[in-house]
Amino acid sequence: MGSLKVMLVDDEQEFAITLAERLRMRGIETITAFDGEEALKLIVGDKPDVVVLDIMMPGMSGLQVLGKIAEIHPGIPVILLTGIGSTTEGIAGMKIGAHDYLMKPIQIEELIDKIRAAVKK
Amino acid sequence: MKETLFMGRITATVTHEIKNVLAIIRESGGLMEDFLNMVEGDNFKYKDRFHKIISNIEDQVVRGDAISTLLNRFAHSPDADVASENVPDLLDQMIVLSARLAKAKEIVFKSDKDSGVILISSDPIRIRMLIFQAMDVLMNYCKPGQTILVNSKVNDSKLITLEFSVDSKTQVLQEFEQIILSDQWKDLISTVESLDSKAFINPENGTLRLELRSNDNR
Amino acid sequence: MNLRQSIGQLFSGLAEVPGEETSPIRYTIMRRNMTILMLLITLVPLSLMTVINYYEYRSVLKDEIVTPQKVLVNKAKHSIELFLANRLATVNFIASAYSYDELADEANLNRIFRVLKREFEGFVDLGLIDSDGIQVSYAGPYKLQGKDYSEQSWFEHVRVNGTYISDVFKGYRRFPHIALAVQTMPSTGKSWIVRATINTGKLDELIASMGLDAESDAFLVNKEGVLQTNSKYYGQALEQCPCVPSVSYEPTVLERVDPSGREIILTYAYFPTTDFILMLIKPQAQVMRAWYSLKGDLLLVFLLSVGLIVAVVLRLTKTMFQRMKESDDKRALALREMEHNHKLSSIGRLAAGVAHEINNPLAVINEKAGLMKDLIEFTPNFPEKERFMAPVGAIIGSVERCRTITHRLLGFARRMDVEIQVLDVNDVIRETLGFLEKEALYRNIKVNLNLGKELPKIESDRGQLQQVFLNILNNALQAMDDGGTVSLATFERDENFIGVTIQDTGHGMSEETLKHVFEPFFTTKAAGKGTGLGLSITYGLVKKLGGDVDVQSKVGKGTRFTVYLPKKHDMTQGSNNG
Repeated sequence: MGSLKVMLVDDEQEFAITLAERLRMRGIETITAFDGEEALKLIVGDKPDVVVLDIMMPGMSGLQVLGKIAEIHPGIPVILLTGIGSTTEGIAGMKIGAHDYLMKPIQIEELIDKIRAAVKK
Repeated sequence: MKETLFMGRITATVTHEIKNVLAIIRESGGLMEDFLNMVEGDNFKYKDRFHKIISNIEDQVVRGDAISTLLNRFAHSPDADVASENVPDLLDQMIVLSARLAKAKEIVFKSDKDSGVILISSDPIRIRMLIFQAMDVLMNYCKPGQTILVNSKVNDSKLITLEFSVDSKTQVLQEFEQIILSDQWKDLISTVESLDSKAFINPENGTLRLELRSNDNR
Repeated sequence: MNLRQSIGQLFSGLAEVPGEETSPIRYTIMRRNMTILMLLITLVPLSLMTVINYYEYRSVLKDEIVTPQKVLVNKAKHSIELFLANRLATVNFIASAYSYDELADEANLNRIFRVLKREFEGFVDLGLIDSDGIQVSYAGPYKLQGKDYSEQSWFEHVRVNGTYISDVFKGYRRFPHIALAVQTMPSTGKSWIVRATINTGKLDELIASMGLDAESDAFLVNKEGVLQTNSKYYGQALEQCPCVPSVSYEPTVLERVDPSGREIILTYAYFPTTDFILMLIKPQAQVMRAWYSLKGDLLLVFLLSVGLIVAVVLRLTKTMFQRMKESDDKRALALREMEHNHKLSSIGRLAAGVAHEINNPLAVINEKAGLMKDLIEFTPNFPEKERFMAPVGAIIGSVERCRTITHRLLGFARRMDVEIQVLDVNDVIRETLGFLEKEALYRNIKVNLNLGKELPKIESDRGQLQQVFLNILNNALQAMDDGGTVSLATFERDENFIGVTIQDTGHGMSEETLKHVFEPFFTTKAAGKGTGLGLSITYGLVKKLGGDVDVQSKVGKGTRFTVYLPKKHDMTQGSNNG
């Protein structure tokens, strides 16, 4: 399996940075962005295989970013991170094109499984 | 009221439990610190890194604990039908509790720190709901990036005024005029009435004013 | 102020009660006012009608009673007049048809008298009296021949007037009679007088023919008040009658009180040709009997109507105000519920926001701990690996626990609306017990689970069911001292329902408490230990879900709640309550 590139978008910087490091330790390339606008800026020049996107963000919400990403790179799989109990938002995201959703706090093995599944599709 | 009491009890129990679990995390972190300190010199290349991670975890525990404490306090509010409380404290409590919602809308609420003590005797759940509803309606009708100042004062006749004012006066007029037509405003008005108080919107200077009556006989 | 204004005020005054607008006394006052008003507008016209009718009927009835009496008196008077005139004419005929000599002949006179007696009843005797007042001849039962009448007043009278009808008198005879005398004046020679007497039997007969009832009395009286015929109440003929009314030739009606104190109605008429007065007396009570009975009927109808109206009005206002109160209560309840829902959804939103706020540091902690774990695991020969892994594992485990807890909290905060799904009630019960494990553990309370293994899944709302069980379990825990036992069992009741029993070994409830335990707003605050959180909510929720709750309790023994839940969620039932 070749090297996967994942974009992590989360306003919780410590979370994004730490998760990115852990993914890297497992041989996954990462791009991190701390809000929707930054993510959209970065994604134009650096297309990841999968985007892991937090729904609850100030400014542009995850769902808005999801729509924009689909405009820039149609077909790119997006895994949404939802807060606890916000299953409905996750489902709403899947309805508008997200590949899957995960509830925070996440288990890294589960995330990697989902990333792999998303790429395989 | 029974349901709110019930919700309150559940929330109070749950937050209490969360605080316990956070304490366990804190203790585990402390334990790791101790281990780290026991490990000899260069033997352990991640020593500093671990110290940093653990202090990071402790910061997050503090953060989580603070919000749990507030939520716990909030959850205890339906315990009494009438309570005498400090309005600036109430404001702070509600601002912190709804910080996440405000953050999502990129709106910042700031309370006036010099208000001193203003006691109000009222239904603790209703008054919190009223403050929340006011903040909620403002969140929906303000532009992202705006800051809303909240100050409280009391006049001679026991009338306590809470004023939410938008700092930048640009482009708030139209949105403010629409507030009155919204369902949220209707909900707010019904709460206001149940507290025997009044609410005003002033689109010209972008303020929402609540006039609360402290009711000691209720 | 004009009338319209004052009427307006009256009505608004009825509906508005100063002060205490929400207190239940308001209904009492409004109901009282409405009752008074309704009674006034119905009873006043009714009373007026009754009074008017009373007087109208009385006058009409009086006319109806009085007129026949007048007619009767008039008729009788005429008959008597006719009778007397007829007898007088007969005597006159005899006086004119025969000469003095013929009449003076006793045998002849006897013959005429016999014919007279045969043809006209009532004649007692017949005699011829010459101008000097000496009885010349006489036919009859008495020896009166030669008697001198010249000194008697009637003789003078007949000499002046030509005819004479006497009052009733007994004279030489011992029974009452009337004398009729006619003077004949031939163109030459002396005049003579023919005198006949008739007995009063015929008069009695004529009076009797008026057809009077037993209590009425009719009689003749003369102007001096001497009874001419027998009276039922005032004595025999020739006795003095106590009353002589003023002169009136037309029949007249008077209301009198007679000397014996009776109220009477007196109808009378004077005779124009004689001194007689015909009197008809009826006791007032008898005359007015019809009136009294009518009056009685009227009063009865009036009282019955009043009774009916009062009953109807009272009933009506009672029902009306009960309905009004019910609908007001319902509205108040609905308002309260609405306000409550606002409150809940506000709290729900807030709780959701706060849960995120707690969740984020947890997510960070999770990653940090995860990173440490990675570093430990990925580093070959990590010193004291086991020692470090233990607290890291503890942290990750704690985060997981927090996650579960917050999840539960949010689940509660969010479940405001009925969200029907197919679920296993046993699962719901296990989940719910999770909330109470700690408390049960601390308090050494034993939890017995006897969940039906083959319990079918039902269509219901998870959150609401949790709340139902939690309420009841909370209640059970509060009712028990430390060391008690809660037993839960699930079973299939029938093809439509499943049942859940929750039995505690607590203090139990008194029958009085039991009666009210599901009533909204019922509180046992004064009773201290016992019901805890509102069971009315539990009841409401179960009803909303189409089920039912049964509660049995014995003081000192414990309480058993049985919740019945439908297997299928009936949409219509659900929307009714929504």
